[in-house]
Amino acid sequence: MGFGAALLDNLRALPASIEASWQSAGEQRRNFVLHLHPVRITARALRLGTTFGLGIITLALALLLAATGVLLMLYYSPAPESAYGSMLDIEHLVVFGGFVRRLHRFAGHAMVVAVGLHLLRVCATSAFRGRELNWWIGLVLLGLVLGLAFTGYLLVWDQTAYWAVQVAANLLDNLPLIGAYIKVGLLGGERVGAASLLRFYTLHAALLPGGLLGFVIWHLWRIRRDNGLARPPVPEEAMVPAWPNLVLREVIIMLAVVGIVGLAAVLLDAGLGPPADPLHPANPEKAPWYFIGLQELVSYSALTGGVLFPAGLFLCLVLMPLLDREEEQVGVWIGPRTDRLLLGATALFGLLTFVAAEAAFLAPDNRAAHARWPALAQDLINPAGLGLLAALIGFVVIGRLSGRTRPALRAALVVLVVFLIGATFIGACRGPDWMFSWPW
Amino acid sequence: MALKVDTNRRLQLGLLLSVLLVAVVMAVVVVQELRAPWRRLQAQYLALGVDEAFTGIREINTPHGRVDRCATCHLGSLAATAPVTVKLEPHPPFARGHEPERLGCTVCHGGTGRALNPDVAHALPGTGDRDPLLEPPYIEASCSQCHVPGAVAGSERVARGAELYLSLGCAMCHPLAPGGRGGWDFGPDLRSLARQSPTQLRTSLFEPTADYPRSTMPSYETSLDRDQTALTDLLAFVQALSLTPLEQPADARVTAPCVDCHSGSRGLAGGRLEHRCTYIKVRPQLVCAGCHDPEVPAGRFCPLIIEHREACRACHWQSRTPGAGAALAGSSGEPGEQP
Repeated sequence: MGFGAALLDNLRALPASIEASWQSAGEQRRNFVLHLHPVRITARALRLGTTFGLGIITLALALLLAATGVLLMLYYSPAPESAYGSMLDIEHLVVFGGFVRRLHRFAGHAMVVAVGLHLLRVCATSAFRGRELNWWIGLVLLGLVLGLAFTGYLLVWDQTAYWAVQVAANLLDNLPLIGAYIKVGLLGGERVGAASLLRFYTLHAALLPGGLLGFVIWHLWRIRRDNGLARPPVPEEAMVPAWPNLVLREVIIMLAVVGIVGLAAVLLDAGLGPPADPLHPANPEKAPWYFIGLQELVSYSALTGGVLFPAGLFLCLVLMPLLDREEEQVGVWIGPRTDRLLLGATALFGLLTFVAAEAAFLAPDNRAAHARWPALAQDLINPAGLGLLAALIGFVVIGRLSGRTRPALRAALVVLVVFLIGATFIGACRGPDWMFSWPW
Repeated sequence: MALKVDTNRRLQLGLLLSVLLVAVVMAVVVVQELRAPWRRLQAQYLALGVDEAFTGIREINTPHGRVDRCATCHLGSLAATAPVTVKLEPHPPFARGHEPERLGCTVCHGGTGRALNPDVAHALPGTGDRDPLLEPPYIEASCSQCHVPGAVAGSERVARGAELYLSLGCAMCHPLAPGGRGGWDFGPDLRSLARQSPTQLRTSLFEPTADYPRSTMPSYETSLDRDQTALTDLLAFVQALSLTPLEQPADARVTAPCVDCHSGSRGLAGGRLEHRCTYIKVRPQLVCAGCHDPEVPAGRFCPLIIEHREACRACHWQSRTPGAGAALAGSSGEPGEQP
């Protein structure tokens, strides 16, 4: 038949050919969400108390941040002379702009908290046992999330942001050998400026989200590969279908996360400070809240607070799956009762040591006296040094008491975490000239 | 596939509550947007039955790189005869040549021009400070961004404030030389501070230790509290100091050095000399020698210049160089003026 007739023939058969193509897609028509999930899961994985849904909460926050971030990218301008103006435009000119911005900011803060809680949950249940690779992937994700939070902080280009980033970048100078190079590479110079803004924007909007996407996919795939959530090795257990049980619970958690962050965005304000002024430092210059604990510790000793303490924490986290090789009580919250008692006692010990250390150094006169000590004494005796010492004491004492490495590692970690959280609180309460004042 | 939903009661309740929460939040956001202050004001304005029919955001892109959206709420301010929904006084006569349609509003009135929320728009950027030059006595300070104080009609208050600055001895500790600091400078260069509101300045004058416990500045309460005019003049001048110069003044009196001291018909030196320098006025014996002694570089005798760190340069701008401290003070609305 001629071309015209063939064409008409095909057009007439259009509905049928569409239906046929749809049919031939076959297996690929299956639901993507179901494909991500295993077919059957343990009933225990459905209970809220198993993980408190922290992984899903973090994922939901990440998706919310990605969506709101893309919307903000449509209006934001990453150059010093127009950044603040574009923030004002987003707040006032763009319809729902202020709401989207507040969603993004509050979700960002919430994500740092959620990632930390998720990490602590995995530690507390020793869920890295048998899944060491996923644990280290998780640590990489922690670094990426902190990097995203930090790079995003600068973009508003107000006084708070500008000087917070300058201070936090200066913390890098304390790292031996490589610190100065990292700082200059990050800032595009010694000081925060136009190069820094562009670099931070590229990191925040392209490079780090790309990295996050890759590692999150790997992280989730490893969960499937490792046969689901960590659980006690009970051989026979009732399995339930993932659909609808697990998927429905995930949907509820995700909606709840969006709802709660949305509520915060409606009720609270995320204002803009005065526009960034490179000639006039803010007083006090404070790093973002997730780094201010570090800043507080560094203020006493750059070596101990800026290098040794973070290194201790980092080593503790990285080596945890290698030093804790027990098979019992995996997936269970802090094993046998004695373990809980020991951990509680160590936490209390850590808290008391921290309070004592800070109380000793809090008064300005004591602080000034400390600054006059010989360098070695200054570096050894300060809140960070005392924290490391207390962690070591906890490690050895609990290790000898229990005869196992797991409680010892948990003890060391809990002391370091208590010191970090405490230092964050103290740092947050500091005002002009780095003077401490109670928040009430 | 069969869609069999779990009939667990708690789960159903959880789903319902979370969906409800998200729906409520979205509804609140939409309502907040529809009831934005500027939308309500415009609706009221249109209800007055005005010929001018418009809706939406009204922007002025000023030659100084700012964006002023004030006319979105301050309706009628751009039309000479239309009624206004927000009570405004008409611009004074010397505002001719300063049309808001061209220059915008914030260049004279301060505030955050890009904002549409009154709490943000009527305040210094990033602060809750709501009296940045909005009050008429202090609006004159804005004139100094382009004009020498006192050189144009309407800026007499700032000129009087400059004289007070010298006679009260402010320049002894707060230097005004282009280089900024040096020698006797105990206090910060007032040109390099961020924009201060009259309230903050009043506190600094009457209670210097209120914000800075270690300040050695004396209190001016006794000399200024009784004389409200003098206080207002001085505050206007100090506010003017913190504003960034926007343009080189076109006043002839500043373009030639000699006419710093000489005034006369249109800046031509000659005829009757009138020294506007306060110091010379009370020491007539120094009148001629100071400038006409060939062995003394002109002006070097002047204790004002020596002790007050060339305070005259506060107004006479050809020596005010950008980046010498004056340039990057918090600008009165937008950060666009960074060099």
